[in-house]
Amino acid sequence: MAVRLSRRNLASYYAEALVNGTSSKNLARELAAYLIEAKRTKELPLIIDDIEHQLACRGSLSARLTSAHALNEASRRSVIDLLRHKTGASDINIKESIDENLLGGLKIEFIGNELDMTISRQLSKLKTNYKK
Amino acid sequence: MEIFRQFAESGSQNGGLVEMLGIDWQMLLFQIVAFLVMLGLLAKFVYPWLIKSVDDRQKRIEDGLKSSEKAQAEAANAEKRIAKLLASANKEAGEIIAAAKAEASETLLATEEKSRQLADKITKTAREQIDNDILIAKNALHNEMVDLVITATEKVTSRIVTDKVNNDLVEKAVKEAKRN
Repeated sequence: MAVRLSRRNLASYYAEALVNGTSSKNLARELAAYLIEAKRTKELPLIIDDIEHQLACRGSLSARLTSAHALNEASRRSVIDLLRHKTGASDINIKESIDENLLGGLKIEFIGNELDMTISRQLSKLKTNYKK
Repeated sequence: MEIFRQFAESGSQNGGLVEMLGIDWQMLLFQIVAFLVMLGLLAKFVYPWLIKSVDDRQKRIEDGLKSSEKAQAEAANAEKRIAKLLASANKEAGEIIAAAKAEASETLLATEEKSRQLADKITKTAREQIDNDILIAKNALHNEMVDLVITATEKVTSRIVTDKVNNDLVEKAVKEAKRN
């Protein structure tokens, strides 16, 4: 029977391991095995968020960028700069994705935060403000 | 006159007159005594009873008359009482009818007033409903316009925004975010 560990302890352990350079594949396998044995598979998204948070506390940030078009290098550097400015993280890892429905601009998601600077959001805000 | 003369002449002959008349003194005396006895007997036994009977009858008659008078007086009183009661009943009936008419009139007025108020209320509610429906329709039209404008803007924007425009937008947005 697996010992029940708190999410914080789990996240802290795995974040530390990642920062130390342990293989993320092995860590992922270990985490999955533990969650299955402890019957806590439903907590996986929350644990991942906690791990990201712990990594951010340790200066390592993962962010997801979504835009209607591919970003050039300058834009990418600006975004990384912004994230560094906002979070103080030194190591920033970006995952980019394209969503044409955003029309233009950029959406950044990281450790429970979201910066939506897209045209679709602005239009949606306009719609909300003007609708009766 | 001749007869009186004849009696006068025969009177002088007393014994002869009495005999002429056929009166027997003994029988007369006996008859007188018998008469007196009978009178006494009648007076003692019959007359009192007779008089009593007559008196009783008289009394009964008088009592009957008195009862009759009393009954008549009572009948007259009863008639008066009945007349009075009838008059009172008629008066009361008249009052009740008048009161019922007044009440009916009041009820009718009250019902008319209620009906008028209800009609006013229904009209007011209907007007409010219509106004509300108009407002809803206006808002729906306005919202539809907004949706159309937004949709048109999205379509136009998706054609206008190129990679370069997008990157410029991102730069501006990042600068704005840094300032905030």
